[in-house]
Amino acid sequence: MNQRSNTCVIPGSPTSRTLFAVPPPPPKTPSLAGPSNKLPLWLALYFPKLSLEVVTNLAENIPAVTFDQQRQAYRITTVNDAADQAGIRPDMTLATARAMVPQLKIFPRDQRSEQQVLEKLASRATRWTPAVVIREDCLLMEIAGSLKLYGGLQSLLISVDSWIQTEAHRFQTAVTPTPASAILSARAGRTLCITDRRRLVSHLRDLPVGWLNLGRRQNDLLNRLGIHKIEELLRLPRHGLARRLNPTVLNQLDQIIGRTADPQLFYTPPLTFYEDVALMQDVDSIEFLLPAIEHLLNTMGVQLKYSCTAANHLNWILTDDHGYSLDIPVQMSCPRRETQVFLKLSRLAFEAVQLKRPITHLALRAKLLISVPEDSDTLMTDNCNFSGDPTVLLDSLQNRLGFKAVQGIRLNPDHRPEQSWMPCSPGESGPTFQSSPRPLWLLHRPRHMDIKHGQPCLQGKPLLLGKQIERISSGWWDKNPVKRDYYLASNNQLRAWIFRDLGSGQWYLHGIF
Amino acid sequence: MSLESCLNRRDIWRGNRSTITTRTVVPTGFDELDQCLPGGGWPLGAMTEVLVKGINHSPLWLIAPALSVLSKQARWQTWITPPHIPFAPALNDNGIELSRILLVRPSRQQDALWAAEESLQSGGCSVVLFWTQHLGRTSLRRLQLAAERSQTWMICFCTGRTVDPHTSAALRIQCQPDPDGIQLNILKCRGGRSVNNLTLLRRTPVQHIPSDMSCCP
Repeated sequence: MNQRSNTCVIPGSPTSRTLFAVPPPPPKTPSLAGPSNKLPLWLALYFPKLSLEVVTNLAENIPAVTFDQQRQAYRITTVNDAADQAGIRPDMTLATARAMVPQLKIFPRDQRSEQQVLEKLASRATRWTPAVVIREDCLLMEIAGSLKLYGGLQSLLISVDSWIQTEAHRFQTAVTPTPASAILSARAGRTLCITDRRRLVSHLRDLPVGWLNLGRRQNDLLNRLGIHKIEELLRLPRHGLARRLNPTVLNQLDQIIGRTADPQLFYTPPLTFYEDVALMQDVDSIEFLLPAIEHLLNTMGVQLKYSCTAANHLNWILTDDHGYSLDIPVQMSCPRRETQVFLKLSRLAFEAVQLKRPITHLALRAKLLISVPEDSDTLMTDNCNFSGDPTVLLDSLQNRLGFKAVQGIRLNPDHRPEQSWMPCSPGESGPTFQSSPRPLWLLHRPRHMDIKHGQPCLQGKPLLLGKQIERISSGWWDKNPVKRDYYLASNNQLRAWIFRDLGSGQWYLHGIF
Repeated sequence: MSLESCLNRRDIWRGNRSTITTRTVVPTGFDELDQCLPGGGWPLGAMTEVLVKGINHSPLWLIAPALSVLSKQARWQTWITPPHIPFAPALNDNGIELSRILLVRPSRQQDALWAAEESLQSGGCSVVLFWTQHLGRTSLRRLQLAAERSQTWMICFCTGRTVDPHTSAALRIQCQPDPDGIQLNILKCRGGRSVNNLTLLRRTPVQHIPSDMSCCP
């Protein structure tokens, strides 16, 4: 999938075809201007076919292009290999291209999706360096600060390379001391790796000026002037160049060779996670979703890990092509970051759901909370040591059985027995106070008792009335006033807490000791 | 073959000697009952089956002292499908820490069984209380096995009418209500002996929390 340019300029060994050959360390000279790790080093990632990749996943042998509207004409922006072989080039008008290849597949360019893909890649790239920039259609990473951590340039580049290969996008890369030159050589397909600023110009010399993205009018002008390479542009007198082309071109050139500053705005990943997958086929059973669920959770796990955040609420969104959508929330009692726990809780939440229709897309949305890790991981981390954590049990029960089915209890300062306790969220502690003797069981609703021979009866058996314990008369200020005389009563089956309602004179069973 | 050599055989089990002495227990709070149970208390990491006449009249006061001891651990006490409301003021008077209590009321029996097994497996509970009319042999065995893998006291209240005479629970107790307390028959006791007609007297909460009671091995 990934295509790399054959051109590979490596200082000292021009014939080598290794992807990233790191130049040998320069001989140590007392010169102050010598290369130093303190100077920035920029890695540019350019995705040449991104416009096509976000709109279609056609096979490579079908000629396909993307286009957008420039002034009055529709012009081609990206071509695939088959279209390229058929002679179609970017910047052609759509009409010309269709005349050349009648069966050409055309897609309007979707810049919003492209931007989303770039942002996604940028947030993953923050794993290697906090300094990631999205610039036009490229990603820039300042890697000088990460060299020591990753054991040198070579091994850092290898690990970045192995990451980017897993993303389904073609890419071209370059490493140079200035951001603009890195972008320029990545776009041109030169896999440069230059650490020494003084050697920069000599490697950029023969790059075509077209990659400067100056715009059509400027390019035409340079063409007419017979200027095709950067070298020729650099040789022109600055004053005249600024007057004929544009002062910004001069600035751009200066930034490329590092003569003027080129400040960058670093990308900050948002504190949310959203990722979706299109399923290979319609899924009507939850079990078939498990691989997709695991994949999404793993992706989120990586982001949580590298952004040092944790999540306490996940939302699974299941959709089909006809607008049917189903949300499955997963709640947690505290912010977590363990993928295994997320997987377990998600499975429980999914088990309670019946799919009414086959679905085609699965998405995961999570709001990430910044959290300070409570303790560092041990050297030998055990991924599954969450067992025994009481909060995991609580989350499991709540996600499978629902939040109403799992509750805690606490005291409530009120004399009425019904109001002297209340359900609460588990683990919450209320006020504590001593009360007069109370039964361990309280009936959900006082049960009416018949009177036989002057004695209250329970299931036909008379209860022996003991002494009156207390009179509870309270709650006249709200809708549930209580005026009762409570008695102890017992028979050979149970010891009961019964009351006589002073309003109606009826007897009720209210608790069991 | 002499009697001596017969007794030394490894496949001979001698009922008069408690074979399991290193078991972790929690004191019941009733001396008479502690003396009848191997190790001197309710067995942790095992299932206790309590057969009652009516599930609505399960004797909570019998286990309240043990619950009070276990509530000192920072783990949940899961109450699954209790027949009535466990009355918070009385629990508090009995020394049970209310913030450890997890009331679980699933709508279906399968969910209740799942919740019981999950609570045992998670290791996040000190005790799991489960009320059910009837517990099948398979479910009982599953719960007993799950309890054995944990350090949790599983206690299950069932009605004794339709009960299977064989049980895989470590302890099975039948309760007969008595005007002043309760009459217990220990039908099965792993590592101990069955006991008939043990009468326990009801005590007021203040009396039945000895101050020096703690989990002992």
